[in-house]
Amino acid sequence: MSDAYTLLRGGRVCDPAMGADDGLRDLYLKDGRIAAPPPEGARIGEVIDLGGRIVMAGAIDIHSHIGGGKVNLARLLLPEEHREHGSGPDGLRRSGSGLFTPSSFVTGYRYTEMGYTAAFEPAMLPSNARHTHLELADVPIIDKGCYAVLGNDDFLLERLAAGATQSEVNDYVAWILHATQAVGVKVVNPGGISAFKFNQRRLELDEAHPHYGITPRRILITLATALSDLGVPHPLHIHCNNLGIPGNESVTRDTIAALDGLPAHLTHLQFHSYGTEGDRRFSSAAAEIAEAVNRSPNISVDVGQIVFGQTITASADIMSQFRNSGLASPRKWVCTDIECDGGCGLVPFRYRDKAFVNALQWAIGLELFLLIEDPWRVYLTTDHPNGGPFTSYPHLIRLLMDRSFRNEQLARINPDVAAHSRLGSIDREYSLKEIAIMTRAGPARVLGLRDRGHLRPGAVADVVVYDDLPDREAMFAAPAWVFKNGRPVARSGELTATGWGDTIVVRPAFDSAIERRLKPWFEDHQTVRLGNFRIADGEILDRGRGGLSIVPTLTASDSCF
Amino acid sequence: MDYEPGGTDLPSPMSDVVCPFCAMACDDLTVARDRTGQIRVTANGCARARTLFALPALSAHCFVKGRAVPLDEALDAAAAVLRAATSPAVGGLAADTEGISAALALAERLGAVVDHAASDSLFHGLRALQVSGAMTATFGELRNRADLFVLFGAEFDRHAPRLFERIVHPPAALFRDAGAARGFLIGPGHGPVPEGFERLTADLTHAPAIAAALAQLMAGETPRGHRVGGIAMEDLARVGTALLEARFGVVGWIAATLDPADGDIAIEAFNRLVVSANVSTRCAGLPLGGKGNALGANYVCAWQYGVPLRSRLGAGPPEHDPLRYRLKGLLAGGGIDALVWLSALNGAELPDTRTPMVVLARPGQPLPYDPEVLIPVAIPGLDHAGSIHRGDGVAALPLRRLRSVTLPTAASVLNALLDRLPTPPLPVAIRETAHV
Repeated sequence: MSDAYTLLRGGRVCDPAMGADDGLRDLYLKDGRIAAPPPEGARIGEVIDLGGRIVMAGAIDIHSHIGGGKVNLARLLLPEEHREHGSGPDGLRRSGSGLFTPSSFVTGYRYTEMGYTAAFEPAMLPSNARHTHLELADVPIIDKGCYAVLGNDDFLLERLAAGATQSEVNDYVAWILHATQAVGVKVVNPGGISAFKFNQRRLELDEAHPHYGITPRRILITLATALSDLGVPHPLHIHCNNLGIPGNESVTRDTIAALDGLPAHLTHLQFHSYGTEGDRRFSSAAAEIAEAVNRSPNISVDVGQIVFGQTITASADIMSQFRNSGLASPRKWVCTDIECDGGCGLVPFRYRDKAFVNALQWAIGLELFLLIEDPWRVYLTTDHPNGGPFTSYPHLIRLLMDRSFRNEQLARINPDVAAHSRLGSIDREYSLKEIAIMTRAGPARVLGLRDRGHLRPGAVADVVVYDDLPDREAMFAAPAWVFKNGRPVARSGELTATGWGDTIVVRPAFDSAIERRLKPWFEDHQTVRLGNFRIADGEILDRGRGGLSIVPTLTASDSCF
Repeated sequence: MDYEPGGTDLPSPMSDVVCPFCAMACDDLTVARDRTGQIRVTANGCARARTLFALPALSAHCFVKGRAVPLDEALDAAAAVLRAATSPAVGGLAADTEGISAALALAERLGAVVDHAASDSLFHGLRALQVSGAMTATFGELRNRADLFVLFGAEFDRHAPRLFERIVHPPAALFRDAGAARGFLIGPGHGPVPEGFERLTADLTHAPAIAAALAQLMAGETPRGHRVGGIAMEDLARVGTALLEARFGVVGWIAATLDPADGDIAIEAFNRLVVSANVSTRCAGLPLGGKGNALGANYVCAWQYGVPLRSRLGAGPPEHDPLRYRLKGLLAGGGIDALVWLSALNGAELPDTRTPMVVLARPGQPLPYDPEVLIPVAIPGLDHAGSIHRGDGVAALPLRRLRSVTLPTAASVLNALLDRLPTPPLPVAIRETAHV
């Protein structure tokens, strides 16, 4: 504990969670937190004059595949990527490589240099949880959290088929959150990954699973209800069925309808907003999907915007990835069936601006951003690396804030897209406040991070200072200052210090009697025993690489949306 | 708690103990400990586990050129060896995650090449992956689902102990009749085969041709010739039919028993075979074998640096070359002038080289000659807690401390060594342009 304050003087504070209008405001940092203005005579250590620069809380990436088995396999699959994009040690930074599957140290440095202070790995298979946490322990500076993937795990499917009660499912979900040190639950192609193991190649929302006889709808509703019942702040994180298939907009809208008011987060919505109109039987359904989201205050989304260039698609959705394996560029890909738990599919891909389908995907993503009205419910993602690397966020922010720039880009891509998309006719430009909502306040709220995403006294002192440049890409690519836990860590987009962030977890209460059912399941059918599956706190804490930060569960008086 | 980094107060016998001594990473062992710290596997171990868990908990001396010295003196001597080097390497890497991380950090400081003692087998699979990808499944999936195993290799008991007990014929299975999995063993060797299995004696240097012929047969084509790799074509046709008729077939291989010269070609052919079977049914590849946490060493290197082993770290950006940075080749060609050898687990026999060597070895490590510096280290999973990766790639398993010993961990020795090396002024990192 230090008794000195750091004063950030004269910044234009853009803090949408505060509600009040922004203006010039002094910020005091103390002991890693935002402090109330100190009493007269308090010792002020460092004073940084911000000269009217723009101040925001640290940005939060709600969905970015930054670590774990499939990301690491992607690195191994593409040595050519890492040959092209490498960096040596420089006394501060560790060596590393990669652009869309950057190595762990590089991941932390790049996020920090862009003003991001937290990122969430959205697809941690429970069977891969220990590996994922080991890897994320080597991502410096930023805070991390993981969503455990459920909904294709044979334990849950078998119990649902056997008529398990909602309360038994709730106990299992809570147990998984504890055992895997997760902060949320994601469902990926509910039932579909498992169905593929039974040689089924597609599964509709109301189609019975070939073995268990239950439907994706049932899996979705049961899991969404479980998280709601348990008071887990982040609602079910849903990767819908039929990713990437023309016409999948109907299953996406049906999914929203099926949730019937239950809180849920639909992820990488761009990949699920496709129609079948036109000569190519591939069209934008962004308007219809945006309308469904606008009408459903229980739903939040992230977009999964694509950016043109080489990347790799990495997903637990092996059913979709196997179907798309013929599109691999370069021509190599990985599919793995995993542990009666889930799957993993890796398909390298190059998004081409002259290709109609890719160019329309680009437009669909932007349409979603611009047609979904409430910035508190739509978050900036590329589904890194699936739509492109997280380092393209500053470029995307410019596309959203600068209509003429957006239309210039639209004019460069496949010309048929302008005719098949309403993008060119959308006038909306995001304001700085709306950007602050979609990259900070919104993700913090939907994750239940009460002390992040805003700059009120008591908040973690993750603070980013930007020059108010007309080129918003340049502005967001290289913030003037970045503070993590009150310490300056980057200046003018260059790292100046390093350290370790927290692992963010949630721990809802549950009846531990569920272990009596789980223990024999692990012994009879798994290849890891229950006690070895569960990750102890010491495994994260004893490495000296940041602490555990526990998100409080919601109580009846908390508003969630 | 299941994980007690500081404590050794686990009751004896201890159950659900993870075995760190091969890539099967069995986690169901029961062990007992006597007053001297000697550990005995009392249930579920294989012969190797029984031998290696029983290694005595000796407190051993450090040695410099065969002379016993205290740890500090050994570290000073080691640092002197490394400071003088211009082409150093860090090899062996048979250790837990922490030990590997510390070894890689040391390599980064030194500008050293990194490689694992057992990387020849590892790189058969990795080079195939780098060229054509992979379609695989993990132990737990196959235990419950696979109804046909086509296994290429030899000496399955030695390379993949308890494969049949744990995966092929488990006591219970979810989606098949547990005891009924059928299969073929393809490779050299004679003698009895497990129930439901048939041996097709073959020369595995022809494994790529066998797999290619099998793929042709499954596609309804007629391969040329009557035999391939020693197998009669009509026998191979039965394998192809079985793969097509299986609900979930497995094509497995022991990489260490493939042709050293072109094991990667064989694995590429296995992968093509698996992919072609998946046109109509389900099938998965299954790499088997490996020890000394080789897969874990490769994983840690990949996530920390973006590149696999057989890379040079710290001399500018990480530089990976699976041929040029094969440590065995570099040592044979005199391309290395100082070697750090990490052997906290089994599977990292000392290389036969005159290169000045700093050896971190577990007690019981065979030493054919005195290295420049020898520092004994604790065994992960017996003497200290940690983690290792299982060979099928998905599960990392926790290692517990089972007894009290005075030996330092490999990570602590490597970190102390790192602290003795200067931090050289290095060129500023190369920065790329944004991806748009």
